[in-house]
Amino acid sequence: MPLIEIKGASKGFGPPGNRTEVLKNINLSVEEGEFVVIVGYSGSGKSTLINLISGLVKPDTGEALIEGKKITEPGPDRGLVFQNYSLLPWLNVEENIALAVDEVFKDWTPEQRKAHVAKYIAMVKLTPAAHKLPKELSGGMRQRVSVARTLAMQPKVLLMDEPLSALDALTRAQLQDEIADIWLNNKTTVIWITNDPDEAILVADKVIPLLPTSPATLGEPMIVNIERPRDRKAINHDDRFKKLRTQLITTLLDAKGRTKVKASVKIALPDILPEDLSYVNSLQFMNRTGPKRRSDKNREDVEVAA
Amino acid sequence: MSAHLPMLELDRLWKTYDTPKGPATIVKNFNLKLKEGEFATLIGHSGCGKSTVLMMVAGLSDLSQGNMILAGREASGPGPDRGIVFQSPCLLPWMTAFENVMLGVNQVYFTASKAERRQMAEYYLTIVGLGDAMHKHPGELSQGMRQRVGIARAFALQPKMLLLDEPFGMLDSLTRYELQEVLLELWRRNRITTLMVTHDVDEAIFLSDRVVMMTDGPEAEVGDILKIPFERPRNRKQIMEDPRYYELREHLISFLNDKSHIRPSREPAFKPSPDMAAELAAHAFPFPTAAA
Repeated sequence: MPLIEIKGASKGFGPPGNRTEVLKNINLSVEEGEFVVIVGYSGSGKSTLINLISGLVKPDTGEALIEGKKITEPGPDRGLVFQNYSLLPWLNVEENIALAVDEVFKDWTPEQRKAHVAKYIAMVKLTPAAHKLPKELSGGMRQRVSVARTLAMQPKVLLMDEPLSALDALTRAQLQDEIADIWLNNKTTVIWITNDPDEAILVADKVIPLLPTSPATLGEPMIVNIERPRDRKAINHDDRFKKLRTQLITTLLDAKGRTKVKASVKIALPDILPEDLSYVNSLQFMNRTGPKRRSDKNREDVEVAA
Repeated sequence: MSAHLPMLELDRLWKTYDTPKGPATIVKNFNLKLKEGEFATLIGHSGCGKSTVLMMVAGLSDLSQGNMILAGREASGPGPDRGIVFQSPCLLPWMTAFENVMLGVNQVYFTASKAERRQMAEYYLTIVGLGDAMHKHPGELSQGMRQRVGIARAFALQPKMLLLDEPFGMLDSLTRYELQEVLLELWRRNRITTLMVTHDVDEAIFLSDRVVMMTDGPEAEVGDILKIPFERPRNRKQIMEDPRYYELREHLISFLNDKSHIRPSREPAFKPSPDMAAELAAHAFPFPTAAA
């Protein structure tokens, strides 16, 4: 039985008459221990899709299941990592993580919980910063806290909603590698949402494009058969990577192209040329009234005897 | 302008800043010639001095040494003959997209009628796909749409040169692909000589005729030059399926990963690639060997 399953789910927002359908006929099944990445354009419904699994959004039709049970509300068996970290600003790193651990593992002794928190802080390499407040941390470090907090709950599935989109390219690359490493050691099931095709292929076992049809549908899954750990430099020379990358990007671009509304508008470029503003005070405007025109270039001065 | 002269000629450009520890050289001996209608890309690591070169061409930063000749004339200071698109579009928030474009249009076409000036702004805004949204304020537009306005604004002035400073750096990869198509569509209609700064290898290959690779800063110089042989108009799908695409990509990636620290001027064993040798020959500039 798959760990997570979505069967024929659709979702729209807005009152009748002014309704926007966002997702249509979504079918997804994720096995335990799988690393699945869903790639799609901004605004195409990726977050709605992950919220169906987290239980923050209920589907209009169809259903979302975890271990065969219907998902009705959020729960600690599904850990969420958001793009904006969502840390409590008045708690330090340790306290932020302890908050989740104390809630989920109520029957543990305080020592057990403390050791558990320390273990996950070490996992994301933040031990020296354990007593810092979120505002004292960089964006990359904050996102690590968020990842540690979520993993510390030992969820059955880790849901990541564009976890790295707010970070700069270098930090993003570093965290991609770190999260892939952590996954390799833990084998928690991961569903990761992104708009970066390279990121998707680099970290995933299975990449699923979310096609920007309106409403959006899921495309054919692509299996990434590249050994781990993956080296981000070497992978650029890997033929399987090149092939998947071409396939993924063209699938997404093709789908976008099909949704484009073809309307023809009549527009004309006016036949005027820019003036040379560095010579405004010279005599260049003396002999003409209108602007310079492209068609002027084809005219000739012919001297005619009077 | 006669056809055989380059549109832009950068001749031994240096950029040096005075610091308490003595002068710091950011860009060293930078040579480049751009033909009229050429699209060239500067690629390199962050902080290597790509933007410094671009800002010198824009006239926003002084040259410490060297000459810059634009369309046959020594250029100094910024002007509407060079259109710039920055990483963030820098629109005036209290004006609509249309008014933002009209701001520059009113300046450079002041001899034209009001109707023609309006038509100019409408034409370019329509082509970048903002036909229905041109009377919205920047606050109502997405990041990608704002950058479309920025691109339309630059093209509407019909500048001699277009300078693009990581114009798509703030956008996510899929939106970036869309805007690259928009840029090429405009460029297909009006082939303005363009110099673009980027650190995205795919963007450089898809858009440009030539990719100029810069070595790591400080004292950045031209490390290598690569010609992109694809025909125009370009189709991303065809290019990605072309076997040459990944060869070019590997060339650029291996430069950035492994070779960007090599300084040709100090490396006696350095052999310029054929494309770079051609560029150096065009300057009638002997290759700077370590002995020189």
